[in-house]
Amino acid sequence: MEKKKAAAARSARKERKSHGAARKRARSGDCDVNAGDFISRLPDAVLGTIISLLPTKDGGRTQILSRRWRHLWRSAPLNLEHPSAVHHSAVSKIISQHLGPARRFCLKHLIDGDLPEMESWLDSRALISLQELDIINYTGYKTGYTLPQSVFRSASTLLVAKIMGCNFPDAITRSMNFYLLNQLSMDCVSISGDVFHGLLSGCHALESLAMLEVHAAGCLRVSSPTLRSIGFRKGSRKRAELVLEDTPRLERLLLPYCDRNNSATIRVIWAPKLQIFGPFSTGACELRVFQGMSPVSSTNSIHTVKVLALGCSEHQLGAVLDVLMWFPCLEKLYVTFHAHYRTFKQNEHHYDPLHPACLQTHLKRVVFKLFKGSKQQIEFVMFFILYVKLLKKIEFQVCGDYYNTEFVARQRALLKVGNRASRYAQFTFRNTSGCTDDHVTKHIHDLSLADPFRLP
Amino acid sequence: MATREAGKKMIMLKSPDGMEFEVEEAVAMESQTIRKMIEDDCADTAILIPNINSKILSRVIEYCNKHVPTTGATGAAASDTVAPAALAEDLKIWDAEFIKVNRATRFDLIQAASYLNIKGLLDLTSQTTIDTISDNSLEEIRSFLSTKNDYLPEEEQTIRRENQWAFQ
Repeated sequence: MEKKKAAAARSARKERKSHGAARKRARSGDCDVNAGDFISRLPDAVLGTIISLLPTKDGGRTQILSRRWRHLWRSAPLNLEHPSAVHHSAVSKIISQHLGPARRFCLKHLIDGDLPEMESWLDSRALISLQELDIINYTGYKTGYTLPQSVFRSASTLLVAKIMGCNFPDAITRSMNFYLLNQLSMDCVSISGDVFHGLLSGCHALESLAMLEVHAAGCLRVSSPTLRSIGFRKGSRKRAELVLEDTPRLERLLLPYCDRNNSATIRVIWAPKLQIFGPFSTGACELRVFQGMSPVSSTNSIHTVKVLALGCSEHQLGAVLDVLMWFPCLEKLYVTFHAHYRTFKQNEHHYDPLHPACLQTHLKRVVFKLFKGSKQQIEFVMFFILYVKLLKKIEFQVCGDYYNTEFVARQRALLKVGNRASRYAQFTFRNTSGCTDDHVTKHIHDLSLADPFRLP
Repeated sequence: MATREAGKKMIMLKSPDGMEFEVEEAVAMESQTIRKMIEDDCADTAILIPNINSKILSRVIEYCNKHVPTTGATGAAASDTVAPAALAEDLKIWDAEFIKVNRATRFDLIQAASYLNIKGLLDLTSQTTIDTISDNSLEEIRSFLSTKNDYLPEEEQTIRRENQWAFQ
């Protein structure tokens, strides 16, 4: 501690000195901006930060700017991206030159021949204290590439890790501690339920976890005191089960491209802050949601969820209302009209509007995506206009092909009814190009936006 | 430590040229350096920020004030008051205006952001420099940074040879 303070004081003194010089410069620089080389007067640590944020090659090139810059690259945290930035042979060269530590190591297009070399890279001095690790094997988990021990050498310093197309070895993570790891992505990864559980219990600061196409033997049990966001899409194996066993801080469970979650089960045991859920499709895929031991239903409902996204066809109002029964405190609903679900059962004509409780008490905003203004879609929407008591706003997202001022005027006329439930409801129309879940995938890790389903 | 209405804790920051700035604790804690001081209980009366003059410090506080409510405020999902995406968009525009300063001020801000450990501000202030360095010719970079090439030709050759990968 004492040592640290002394060092801090020393560096503060140093910075003060250089700052004074910079200020003197600044005064003269105000009249002639080209006069001073301000940047070279910044402390090494700051220049190092700038270098470490540069793409690999540009970072290396700073050595040639002037003598002041010559030695900075070698000790600035290394940002090494292979191979889009530098060739395979250059990686070994860079690793032999650099003194470490490293900020980021990104390894793409892994092929089997690279393995021994990759292990030696990961063991090198240059990659010590790594903060960001990206291992991408595009050929997928089928090639059976198993992550070597050395990948986890930096476990204690990693902040962000992304593993794609690899297998987790059965023994590796049992006693591993990731003290700082904040974001973990596993994409096309094969892992056993036990290893997954062990991996998570070693993560002490994990806030977001993306598991897209994870092939798990056994169920994926999540226990984490820190997790706030989970993204999940099951892999190609027949069954998959995600269990939110003990997730006291979990706010969002995102299921981008839910069509592929056929015969997946999500079981919520303890997630008292789960507010955001979806998207999932009614009927099109067999995603089963449990709370505790029983399926979620009107009598076993989840009261915490406030924002829900659903995919359905315009004929499935009944199925949508059934799902709304599960979430009595829902405030905002996203409905995406998927054309390919049209085969599902027709809308029946009588619904009990008192029944999904949220229609009477909480629901305020509804967003319809891929809205085309067909007769059935208007009928579907009309239900919400007639029965949602606190409705404030309905947003219609319309594909560019359909969208024009005439279309909007026609829809507004069609939706005009005297007996709507909420007098204050506003309708807005937006021109959007298509509808994908890409932005949902992005928001698994981006916790800065409160509503991950909202299009920017 | 002074407290103000709504139970907001206030912190006094002092610049070396004698100016004092009273800011909310939450705003001051945007700086990891100050956060550490507060958490270690080294911040009883006022915190002296040793190497940042009042002009720069006031700009840093302006930045922190603007950025404090959005970071980590995801608790209010589906909030009716402000659309969060619009807020993020606003912030971006505000940042772009904020950083329209002369080079000297920008480098002072970089240094302040680094000392106070304010990641967002460091990223913002460094970005122009990073943009300049990436994808520009060496001469352009040197001229923008006003850095003079003080290598002898043979030294320059050696560096190029040793780091061929960077110059291909």
